[in-house]
Amino acid sequence: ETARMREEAAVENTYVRIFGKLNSYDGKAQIVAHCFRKVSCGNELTHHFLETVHAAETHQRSNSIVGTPSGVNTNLNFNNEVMGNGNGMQTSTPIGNGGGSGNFGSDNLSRDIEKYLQDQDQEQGGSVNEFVGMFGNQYSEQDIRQKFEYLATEGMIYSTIDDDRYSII
Amino acid sequence: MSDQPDGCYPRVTGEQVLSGQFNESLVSLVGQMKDIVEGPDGAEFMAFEACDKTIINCTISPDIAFESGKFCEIIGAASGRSNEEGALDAFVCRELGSDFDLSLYHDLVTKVLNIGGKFEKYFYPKDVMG
Repeated sequence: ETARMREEAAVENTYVRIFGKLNSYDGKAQIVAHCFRKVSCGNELTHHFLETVHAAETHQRSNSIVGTPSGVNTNLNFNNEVMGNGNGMQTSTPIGNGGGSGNFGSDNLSRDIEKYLQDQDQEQGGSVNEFVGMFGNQYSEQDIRQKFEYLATEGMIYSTIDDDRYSII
Repeated sequence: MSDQPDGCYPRVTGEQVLSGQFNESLVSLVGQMKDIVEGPDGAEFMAFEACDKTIINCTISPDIAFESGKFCEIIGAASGRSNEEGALDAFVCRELGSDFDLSLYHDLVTKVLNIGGKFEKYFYPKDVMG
Protein backbone atom coordinates (compact mmCIF):
# COMPACT_ATOMS: atom_id res chain seq x y z
CA GLU A 1 0.00 0.00 0.00
CA THR A 2 2.81 2.39 0.97
CA ALA A 3 4.77 1.49 -2.13
CA ARG A 4 1.71 2.10 -4.30
CA MET A 5 1.12 5.50 -2.70
CA ARG A 6 4.73 6.50 -3.27
CA GLU A 7 4.62 5.37 -6.87
CA GLU A 8 1.47 7.43 -7.52
CA ALA A 9 3.00 10.47 -5.87
CA ALA A 10 6.36 10.28 -7.65
CA VAL A 11 5.07 11.63 -10.97
CA GLU A 12 6.19 15.00 -12.29
CA ASN A 13 3.66 17.84 -11.94
CA THR A 14 1.59 15.90 -9.44
CA TYR A 15 0.37 17.60 -6.28
CA VAL A 16 1.41 15.66 -3.18
CA ARG A 17 0.90 16.02 0.54
CA ILE A 18 4.10 15.58 2.52
CA PHE A 19 4.22 14.83 6.23
CA GLY A 20 7.48 15.47 8.00
CA LYS A 21 9.63 17.63 10.20
CA LEU A 22 10.84 21.03 9.17
CA ASN A 23 14.60 21.40 9.60
CA SER A 24 17.13 24.04 8.73
CA TYR A 25 20.38 23.01 7.08
CA ASP A 26 23.01 25.42 5.87
CA GLY A 27 20.52 28.27 6.21
CA LYS A 28 17.93 26.57 4.02
CA ALA A 29 14.62 25.13 5.15
CA GLN A 30 14.19 21.42 4.45
CA ILE A 31 11.53 18.86 5.21
CA VAL A 32 12.51 15.41 6.41
CA ALA A 33 9.52 13.52 5.04
CA HIS A 34 8.01 10.62 6.96
CA CYS A 35 5.45 9.89 4.30
CA PHE A 36 3.87 11.45 1.27
CA ARG A 37 0.88 10.73 -0.88
CA LYS A 38 -0.84 12.08 -3.93
CA VAL A 39 -3.48 14.72 -3.23
CA SER A 40 -6.87 13.01 -3.36
CA CYS A 41 -8.73 15.75 -5.27
CA GLY A 42 -8.47 19.41 -6.22
CA ASN A 43 -10.55 20.50 -3.25
CA GLU A 44 -7.71 19.36 -1.01
CA LEU A 45 -5.62 22.10 -2.61
CA THR A 46 -8.20 24.75 -1.72
CA HIS A 47 -8.42 23.34 1.78
CA HIS A 48 -4.65 23.45 2.16
CA PHE A 49 -4.45 27.16 1.38
CA LEU A 50 -7.23 27.94 3.83
CA GLU A 51 -5.62 25.72 6.46
CA THR A 52 -2.31 27.52 5.93
CA VAL A 53 -3.87 30.89 6.66
CA HIS A 54 -5.72 29.54 9.67
CA ALA A 55 -2.60 27.93 11.14
CA ALA A 56 -0.46 31.01 10.54
CA GLU A 57 -3.00 33.39 12.06
CA THR A 58 -3.54 31.10 15.05
CA HIS A 59 0.22 30.84 15.58
CA GLN A 60 0.57 34.61 15.43
CA ARG A 61 -2.19 35.14 17.94
CA SER A 62 -0.80 32.57 20.34
CA ASN A 63 2.60 34.26 20.21
CA SER A 64 1.04 37.56 21.18
CA ILE A 65 -0.46 36.16 24.41
CA VAL A 66 1.84 37.17 27.25
CA GLY A 67 2.63 35.55 30.56
CA THR A 68 1.31 31.97 30.43
CA PRO A 69 3.92 29.22 30.18
CA SER A 70 2.98 26.04 28.30
CA GLY A 71 1.58 23.06 30.21
CA VAL A 72 -0.21 25.23 32.77
CA ASN A 73 -3.96 25.28 33.28
CA THR A 74 -5.14 28.85 33.66
CA ASN A 75 -8.48 29.86 35.09
CA LEU A 76 -9.45 33.22 33.70
CA ASN A 77 -12.19 35.29 35.32
CA PHE A 78 -13.82 37.77 33.02
CA ASN A 79 -15.83 40.51 34.70
CA ASN A 80 -19.24 41.60 33.52
CA GLU A 81 -17.96 44.71 31.78
CA VAL A 82 -15.42 42.82 29.70
CA MET A 83 -17.86 40.14 28.62
CA GLY A 84 -20.70 42.56 28.12
CA ASN A 85 -23.30 40.31 29.69
CA GLY A 86 -24.99 39.95 33.03
CA ASN A 87 -23.05 36.91 34.17
CA GLY A 88 -19.39 36.54 35.10
CA MET A 89 -17.65 33.82 33.13
CA GLN A 90 -14.94 31.47 34.24
CA THR A 91 -12.77 29.86 31.61
CA SER A 92 -10.14 27.19 31.97
CA THR A 93 -7.57 27.48 29.22
CA PRO A 94 -5.16 24.57 28.99
CA ILE A 95 -2.13 25.37 26.91
CA GLY A 96 0.28 22.73 25.59
CA ASN A 97 -0.25 19.02 25.13
CA GLY A 98 -0.85 17.78 28.64
CA GLY A 99 -3.82 15.44 28.75
CA GLY A 100 -4.36 15.39 24.99
CA SER A 101 -4.66 18.39 22.76
CA GLY A 102 -7.61 17.05 20.80
CA ASN A 103 -5.66 17.39 17.57
CA PHE A 104 -6.19 13.69 16.86
CA GLY A 105 -9.94 13.98 17.11
CA SER A 106 -12.64 14.36 19.65
CA ASP A 107 -13.55 10.70 20.05
CA ASN A 108 -12.32 8.72 23.05
CA LEU A 109 -10.23 6.28 21.03
CA SER A 110 -8.31 9.09 19.33
CA ARG A 111 -7.66 10.79 22.63
CA ASP A 112 -6.48 7.54 24.25
CA ILE A 113 -4.12 6.85 21.36
CA GLU A 114 -2.74 10.36 21.57
CA LYS A 115 -2.14 10.11 25.33
CA TYR A 116 -0.57 6.67 24.93
CA LEU A 117 1.83 7.81 22.23
CA GLN A 118 2.77 10.94 24.16
CA ASP A 119 3.98 8.71 27.00
CA GLN A 120 6.19 6.63 24.72
CA ASP A 121 9.77 7.11 23.67
CA GLN A 122 9.72 9.38 20.58
CA GLU A 123 12.28 7.30 18.69
CA GLN A 124 10.76 3.86 19.17
CA GLY A 125 7.16 4.93 19.47
CA GLY A 126 4.22 3.04 20.86
CA SER A 127 3.09 -0.44 19.82
CA VAL A 128 -0.32 -1.08 18.29
CA ASN A 129 -0.31 -4.60 19.77
CA GLU A 130 0.48 -3.19 23.19
CA PHE A 131 -2.32 -0.64 22.86
CA VAL A 132 -4.71 -3.43 21.88
CA GLY A 133 -3.64 -5.30 24.98
CA MET A 134 -4.22 -2.26 27.19
CA PHE A 135 -7.48 -1.04 25.72
CA GLY A 136 -8.92 -4.19 24.16
CA ASN A 137 -11.74 -4.25 26.72
CA GLN A 138 -12.89 -0.76 25.66
CA TYR A 139 -12.43 -0.86 21.89
CA SER A 140 -12.40 -3.63 19.33
CA GLU A 141 -9.04 -4.57 17.85
CA GLN A 142 -10.34 -3.74 14.36
CA ASP A 143 -11.37 -0.23 15.45
CA ILE A 144 -7.99 0.32 17.06
CA ARG A 145 -6.02 -0.79 14.02
CA GLN A 146 -8.22 1.23 11.67
CA LYS A 147 -7.75 4.32 13.80
CA PHE A 148 -3.96 3.94 13.80
CA GLU A 149 -4.05 3.52 10.03
CA TYR A 150 -6.25 6.59 9.64
CA LEU A 151 -3.99 8.73 11.84
CA ALA A 152 -0.96 7.62 9.83
CA THR A 153 -2.70 8.44 6.53
CA GLU A 154 -3.64 11.88 7.83
CA GLY A 155 -0.07 12.53 8.87
CA MET A 156 -0.70 12.74 12.61
CA ILE A 157 1.60 9.76 13.37
CA TYR A 158 4.32 7.88 11.55
CA SER A 159 5.70 4.37 11.78
CA THR A 160 9.08 4.05 13.44
CA ILE A 161 11.10 0.85 13.76
CA ASP A 162 8.46 -1.47 12.31
CA ASP A 163 4.86 -1.53 11.09
CA ASP A 164 3.56 -2.08 14.60
CA ARG A 165 5.16 1.00 16.13
CA TYR A 166 4.12 4.61 15.70
CA SER A 167 5.19 7.94 17.05
CA ILE A 168 3.54 11.35 17.03
CA ILE A 169 4.70 13.79 14.38
CA MET B 1 9.81 36.07 -16.48
CA SER B 2 13.50 35.60 -15.69
CA ASP B 3 12.98 37.68 -12.52
CA GLN B 4 10.14 35.53 -11.26
CA PRO B 5 11.23 33.34 -8.32
CA ASP B 6 11.36 29.69 -9.30
CA GLY B 7 8.09 27.89 -8.59
CA CYS B 8 6.37 31.07 -7.46
CA TYR B 9 3.47 32.09 -9.63
CA PRO B 10 0.31 33.91 -8.65
CA ARG B 11 -3.07 32.24 -8.82
CA VAL B 12 -5.26 34.46 -10.92
CA THR B 13 -8.70 34.84 -12.40
CA GLY B 14 -9.49 35.11 -16.09
CA GLU B 15 -10.10 38.85 -15.77
CA GLN B 16 -6.64 39.32 -14.31
CA VAL B 17 -5.06 37.50 -17.26
CA LEU B 18 -6.88 39.75 -19.72
CA SER B 19 -6.09 42.90 -17.74
CA GLY B 20 -2.43 42.73 -18.71
CA GLN B 21 -1.34 42.92 -15.10
CA PHE B 22 0.64 39.66 -15.40
CA ASN B 23 1.95 39.96 -18.96
CA GLU B 24 5.23 38.11 -19.47
CA SER B 25 4.77 36.31 -16.12
CA LEU B 26 3.95 32.73 -15.27
CA VAL B 27 0.53 32.36 -13.67
CA SER B 28 -1.71 29.59 -12.42
CA LEU B 29 -5.22 29.57 -13.86
CA VAL B 30 -7.79 27.10 -12.59
CA GLY B 31 -10.97 26.35 -14.42
CA GLN B 32 -12.68 24.07 -16.87
CA MET B 33 -11.78 23.04 -20.41
CA LYS B 34 -14.59 24.08 -22.73
CA ASP B 35 -13.84 23.81 -26.40
CA ILE B 36 -11.29 24.02 -29.19
CA VAL B 37 -11.73 27.29 -31.06
CA GLU B 38 -10.11 28.77 -34.13
CA GLY B 39 -8.31 32.10 -34.10
CA PRO B 40 -8.38 34.76 -36.83
CA ASP B 41 -5.38 33.29 -38.68
CA GLY B 42 -6.56 29.68 -38.42
CA ALA B 43 -4.58 28.77 -35.33
CA GLU B 44 -6.38 26.56 -32.81
CA PHE B 45 -6.77 27.49 -29.17
CA MET B 46 -8.32 25.82 -26.18
CA ALA B 47 -11.22 27.84 -24.75
CA PHE B 48 -10.75 27.62 -21.00
CA GLU B 49 -13.37 28.89 -18.57
CA ALA B 50 -11.58 30.34 -15.55
CA CYS B 51 -12.94 30.33 -12.01
CA ASP B 52 -14.59 33.73 -12.58
CA LYS B 53 -16.39 32.37 -15.69
CA THR B 54 -14.16 34.36 -18.05
CA ILE B 55 -13.22 32.40 -21.18
CA ILE B 56 -9.50 32.51 -21.90
CA ASN B 57 -8.10 31.24 -25.18
CA CYS B 58 -4.95 29.25 -24.49
CA THR B 59 -2.27 27.89 -26.78
CA ILE B 60 -1.50 24.40 -25.57
CA SER B 61 1.46 22.08 -25.91
CA PRO B 62 0.91 18.61 -27.50
CA ASP B 63 1.18 16.80 -24.17
CA ILE B 64 -1.89 18.56 -22.74
CA ALA B 65 -4.88 16.34 -23.42
CA PHE B 66 -8.10 18.24 -24.12
CA GLU B 67 -11.31 16.91 -22.59
CA SER B 68 -14.40 19.11 -22.51
CA GLY B 69 -15.63 19.71 -18.98
CA LYS B 70 -12.41 18.64 -17.27
CA PHE B 71 -11.43 20.71 -14.23
CA CYS B 72 -7.76 21.48 -14.26
CA GLU B 73 -5.04 23.92 -13.33
CA ILE B 74 -3.00 25.46 -16.10
CA ILE B 75 0.43 26.92 -15.53
CA GLY B 76 1.28 29.24 -18.35
CA ALA B 77 2.61 32.58 -19.44
CA ALA B 78 0.28 35.51 -19.91
CA SER B 79 1.28 36.35 -23.46
CA GLY B 80 0.13 39.94 -23.67
CA ARG B 81 -1.73 39.12 -26.90
CA SER B 82 -5.45 39.66 -27.30
CA ASN B 83 -7.74 36.81 -26.30
CA GLU B 84 -8.53 36.09 -29.96
CA GLU B 85 -4.82 35.50 -30.54
CA GLY B 86 -4.33 33.37 -27.42
CA ALA B 87 -3.96 35.30 -24.15
CA LEU B 88 -2.28 32.42 -22.29
CA ASP B 89 0.50 30.07 -23.41
CA ALA B 90 -0.12 26.91 -21.41
CA PHE B 91 2.82 24.72 -20.43
CA VAL B 92 1.55 22.44 -17.70
CA CYS B 93 -1.91 21.06 -17.01
CA ARG B 94 -2.89 19.30 -13.76
CA GLU B 95 -6.21 17.55 -13.41
CA LEU B 96 -8.23 18.45 -10.33
CA GLY B 97 -10.87 15.74 -10.30
CA SER B 98 -14.49 15.71 -11.38
CA ASP B 99 -15.92 17.05 -8.10
CA PHE B 100 -13.78 20.16 -7.85
CA ASP B 101 -15.60 23.15 -6.30
CA LEU B 102 -14.72 25.98 -8.68
CA SER B 103 -16.77 28.68 -6.97
CA LEU B 104 -15.03 27.97 -3.66
CA TYR B 105 -11.69 28.22 -5.43
CA HIS B 106 -12.78 31.56 -6.91
CA ASP B 107 -13.48 32.84 -3.40
CA LEU B 108 -10.06 31.60 -2.33
CA VAL B 109 -8.28 33.44 -5.14
CA THR B 110 -10.18 36.70 -4.77
CA LYS B 111 -10.39 36.91 -0.97
CA VAL B 112 -7.37 35.01 0.37
CA LEU B 113 -4.66 34.67 -2.27
CA ASN B 114 -5.09 38.10 -3.81
CA ILE B 115 -1.85 40.06 -4.14
CA GLY B 116 -2.01 43.12 -1.92
CA GLY B 117 -4.51 41.40 0.36
CA LYS B 118 -4.38 40.69 4.05
CA PHE B 119 -2.75 37.27 3.69
CA GLU B 120 -0.32 38.07 0.91
CA LYS B 121 2.67 37.61 3.23
CA TYR B 122 1.96 33.88 3.58
CA PHE B 123 2.06 33.11 -0.13
CA TYR B 124 4.25 35.53 -2.03
CA PRO B 125 7.86 36.67 -1.62
CA LYS B 126 8.38 40.29 -0.67
CA ASP B 127 9.21 41.48 -4.20
CA VAL B 128 6.13 39.91 -5.68
CA MET B 129 5.31 40.35 -9.34
CA GLY B 130 2.15 42.03 -10.60
